[in-house]
Amino acid sequence: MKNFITKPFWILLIIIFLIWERGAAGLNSLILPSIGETYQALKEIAVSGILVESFLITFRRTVIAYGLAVIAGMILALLLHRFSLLERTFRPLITIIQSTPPVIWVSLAVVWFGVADDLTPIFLIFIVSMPVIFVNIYQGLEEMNTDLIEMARAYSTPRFRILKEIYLPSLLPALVSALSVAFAFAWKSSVFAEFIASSSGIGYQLSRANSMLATDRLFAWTIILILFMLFVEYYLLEKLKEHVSRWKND
Amino acid sequence: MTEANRILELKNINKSFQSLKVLQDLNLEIKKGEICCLLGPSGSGKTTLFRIASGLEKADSGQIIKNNKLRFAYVFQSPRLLPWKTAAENLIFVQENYGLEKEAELRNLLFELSGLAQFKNAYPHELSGGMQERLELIRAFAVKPDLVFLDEPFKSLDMKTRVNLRKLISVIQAETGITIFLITHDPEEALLLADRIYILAAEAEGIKKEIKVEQPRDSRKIADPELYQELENIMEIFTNLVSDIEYVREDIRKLF
Repeated sequence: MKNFITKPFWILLIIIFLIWERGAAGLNSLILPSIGETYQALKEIAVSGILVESFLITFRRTVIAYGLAVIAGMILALLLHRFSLLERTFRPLITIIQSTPPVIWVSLAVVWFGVADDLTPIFLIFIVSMPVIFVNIYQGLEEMNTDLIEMARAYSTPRFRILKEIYLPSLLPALVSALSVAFAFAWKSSVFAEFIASSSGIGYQLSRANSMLATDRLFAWTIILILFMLFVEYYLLEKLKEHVSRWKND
Repeated sequence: MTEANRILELKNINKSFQSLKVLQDLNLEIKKGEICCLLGPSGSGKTTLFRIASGLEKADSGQIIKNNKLRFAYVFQSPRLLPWKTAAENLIFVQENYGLEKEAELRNLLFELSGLAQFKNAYPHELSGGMQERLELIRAFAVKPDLVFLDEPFKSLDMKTRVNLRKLISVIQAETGITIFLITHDPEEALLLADRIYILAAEAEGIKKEIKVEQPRDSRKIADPELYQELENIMEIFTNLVSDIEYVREDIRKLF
């Protein structure tokens, strides 16, 4: 997490905490709970087991839908790159899907699937993150160095090896950046869908805390969400980025 | 020339890009075991010919006679190395397509000969431009080819690296008898390395001249009267190829 933990950031964080604590002292905890109250709420949900249970539910939904979006986005990108008729037919459709606000998708999902615990979040995550994966991979394919492919063909390299040893490594940087952007979308969509139309998961817990005016819990859940997002973005994906660009000059 | 002696023949090759005619009725043949050189000024269609002869591009018309059982290797104008593979892996990548015997030994020998032995595990971006060119060159020989196409392999190299690479090619060729088709714009290089030189005329006029260099390669020196005369002849052809600008003298004087 070396890119994340910087001195200026720590200073900023301390300032935010100081302002928070100072603000909370003068306000009702319904409006702004103190750091201590938030910590207490965090402890409660952790001890009661709701934290782990809800986290795992949201995590499972995200992983399933995100995985499907990655596979579908890649296949679509490859197909549209390969066949120009498909490209001319479906490219605008993907742009339309991408520019439709998530709230419309979630409303439609509720109409189509009802308050389906798993289906609505999975649908939303998929529809929001698939175009992100598609666009990145498609662009990676368009920018691919065709000289290397020509070289490989000239040296009688079988098609499968060209795919595995040239296409794939060429696309890895684009793929990692797609994974990173799409994960942020997926994680947020998951919580959003659960908030609106589910009876489990972190989003649902947020919605409950909200309707019960338990602002300290709202803050506690928010901290969990942020911490997990940071862990994925600055640790997991950072490791992956380092691995795929080890041959790069920087 | 007998059939067995000929490794590649191009007959009446024509090629245009849109309305620009690049090659017109071009004929040339490459004999087995020789270093054949195609010499021409920039823009004379050398690379197009390289691509057509090596099968990377199709001619508009004409005939290419070659034995498809032969193994070709390529040295591109700017190195085409896989950036995510180390130097050794780049060689393995092409070697694996042919199931060669003693692959690793051949690789080691080529690394040794090219002075890259210490850099086997380096990625291309960790190598200098000259080293990358050397790697590109030894990759071609690593597949035990019958014919190597070299497209201006020394274009961006300094004098020392050039001389070394020339020597490397010359030695490998002498010991193995591998046929080499070298494309260059440098008359000196052509005279020092080639057994036969085709001079490509500008503006799609085909082959302007064919020169045979009989002297043993090892003892060639450009200061040698015979070679020097050839160099003069080539330079004269080149000078004539470049369009005559005498007629604009007046304009130049006026405008400057």
